[in-house]
Amino acid sequence: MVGIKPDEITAILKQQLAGTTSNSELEEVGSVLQVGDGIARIYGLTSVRAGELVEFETGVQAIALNLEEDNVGVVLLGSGAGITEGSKVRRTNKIASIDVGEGYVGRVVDPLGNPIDGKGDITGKKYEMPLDRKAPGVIFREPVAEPLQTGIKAIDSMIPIGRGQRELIIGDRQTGKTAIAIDTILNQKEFYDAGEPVYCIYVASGQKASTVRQVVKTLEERGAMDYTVVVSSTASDPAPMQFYAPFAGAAIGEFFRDTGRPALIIFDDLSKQAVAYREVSLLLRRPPGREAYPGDVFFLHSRLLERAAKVINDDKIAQGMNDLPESLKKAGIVKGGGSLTALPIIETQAGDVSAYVPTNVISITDGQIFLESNLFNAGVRPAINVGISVSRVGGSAQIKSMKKVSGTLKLDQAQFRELEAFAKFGSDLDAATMNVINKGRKNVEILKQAQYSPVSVEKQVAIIYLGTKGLLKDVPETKVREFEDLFLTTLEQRNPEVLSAFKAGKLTPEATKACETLAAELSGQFN
Amino acid sequence: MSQFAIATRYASSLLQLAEESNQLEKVHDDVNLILDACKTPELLRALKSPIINSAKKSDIVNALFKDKVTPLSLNFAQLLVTKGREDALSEILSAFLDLYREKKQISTAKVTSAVALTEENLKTIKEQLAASGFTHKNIELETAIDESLIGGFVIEVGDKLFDSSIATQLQKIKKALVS
Repeated sequence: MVGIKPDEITAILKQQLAGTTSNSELEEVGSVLQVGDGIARIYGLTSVRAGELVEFETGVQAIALNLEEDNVGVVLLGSGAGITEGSKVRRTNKIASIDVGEGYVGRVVDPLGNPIDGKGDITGKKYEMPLDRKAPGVIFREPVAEPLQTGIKAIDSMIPIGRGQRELIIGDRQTGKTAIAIDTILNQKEFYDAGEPVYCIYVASGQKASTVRQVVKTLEERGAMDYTVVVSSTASDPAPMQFYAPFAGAAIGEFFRDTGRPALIIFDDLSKQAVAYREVSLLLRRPPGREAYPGDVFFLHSRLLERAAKVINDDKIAQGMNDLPESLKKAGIVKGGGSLTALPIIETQAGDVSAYVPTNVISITDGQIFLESNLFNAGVRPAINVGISVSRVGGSAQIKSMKKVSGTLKLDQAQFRELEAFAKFGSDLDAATMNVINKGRKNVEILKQAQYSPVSVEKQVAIIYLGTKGLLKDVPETKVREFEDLFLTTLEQRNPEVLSAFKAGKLTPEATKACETLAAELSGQFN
Repeated sequence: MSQFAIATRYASSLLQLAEESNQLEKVHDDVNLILDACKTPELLRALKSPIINSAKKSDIVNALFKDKVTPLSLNFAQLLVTKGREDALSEILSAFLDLYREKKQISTAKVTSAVALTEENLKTIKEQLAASGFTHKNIELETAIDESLIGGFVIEVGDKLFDSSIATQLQKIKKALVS
């Protein structure tokens, strides 16, 4: 064994310790008056700022939320064990924030940025991003114009989502809300593989730990974790962690947005977050309002969702953005053209969309995707009710070929549903009506899609083209999905140029002709 | 209304009244005396008791303090009893002392050390504190001894804390090595 001299060891130890024993600093402290239920009231801390992190002797951190004349109300971000009356609380002079960096991609973190996936520390350069930050002002934004492909036929054709949009996913329990969000993440693999990743952030707020594990496993198996960050606060975490989780997710998303890259964030789900916020507010003795939610539950969600934005494609203007964190400014990595698309999820109770939180979030977002349990049970999956689902800004973000093909789809389907109600009475129908009903039924079949199987936009265009032109009239309803599979694989093999034209946004007569001939040829096999 | 707001209001009116009648120092002594008396649990319990009526409480206050304090202070105590605020007596008196110190530009600093400090040490601390700008010019020092600090000292002024104890520095080293 090669010997190490004792003085060498001492030298190294000295080196390591240098700096840690630096001069003591003036600290500002307060003492705990009362602690319990995840909140504490502190005497002292007279100059603490709202939203500042404070630290207890046990190392647990807390956020100052209520500044009153004789005490400060803080919410604990950890266990209250070991904190007693009279315990000292220290100011940290830091607004609640999270250190974000490229190393987050592929990781599962808690709302404070600590990794919880057992893969060790997060490496790489990190930038401090405040959890609660003001959204970009009007001059730093751009209209939504680029599509965010979800890979779900019903959404991309009729309720298109653009980058920078906020589209609500709303529905009862067990209607496939999370499934839509996960499929959207999975569909971004195509862009990751092409070298233009859309970074995805999945925020679980108040979810079951097993559900989060399941989601992470699905994403890992399908190679989607390579461009995804999961922020997890499960039902057993303290309420403040649950309601700060979406803010932490948004801070991570803003890192990608402000460095000029597209990002997608999913808030699963905001109703549980609102419940966590209600809990904290009531414990802090803020006056309850409707459904016992505090008065600022609307602001809670509006300021969160406002942070989803399409940043102007001009580096100079973007660098002057309001409320940019110092860390980003100093590093000089701010770029324009980034976007943050938000897909908040709201769970309704027995389809009641007029409850407080659902109405709030519906009014904040740029559209909503309604999921219904009766559609789900009837086998229409994804169980999207296209009649009442809308996208207020996504239309301008659709690629041209899709826009042309799906232009009449929504109207056709509305007409079909009206006539279908009539047809149930079993009366004799004229040929034109039968035609509409037939086409509608085929379209419903086309729009059905299995979970975890996103379809690329060019294939969507091809199959929806057949549906809207009524080219499936010879294929029995039950065989439509079989036909679709065969059609798309054959088309891919025989006429790849058709698909690439569709992808480029061109709906050329040659391409549509090729689709029509192939459809006619294949539909013969299904009679 | 919170205890804090009540205490500040009563205390500031007492302070103003004492000032107007040029009895500030006397009243200050009285307040200290009454506050000392309030440390007796029996008296405190009697004053806070909802069963004893205010006439009785008034008699108690009279009997205790009549010969020892100025009429102004006694009247103030009586007023609290008639207004039903006697339960906040000690908070009000503490608030008065805070206001008095503010008025006289006095800060109280609490110095905790591992070993007893010499007069010389305390004088230096006082001078340094006064020069630091964090406190008022006049400083009252309270000292305490806590052997768990190992060495060094901790100074607390209001909600500011200056910690240069060995124990804290060891903690810091531990933190730096562990993380």
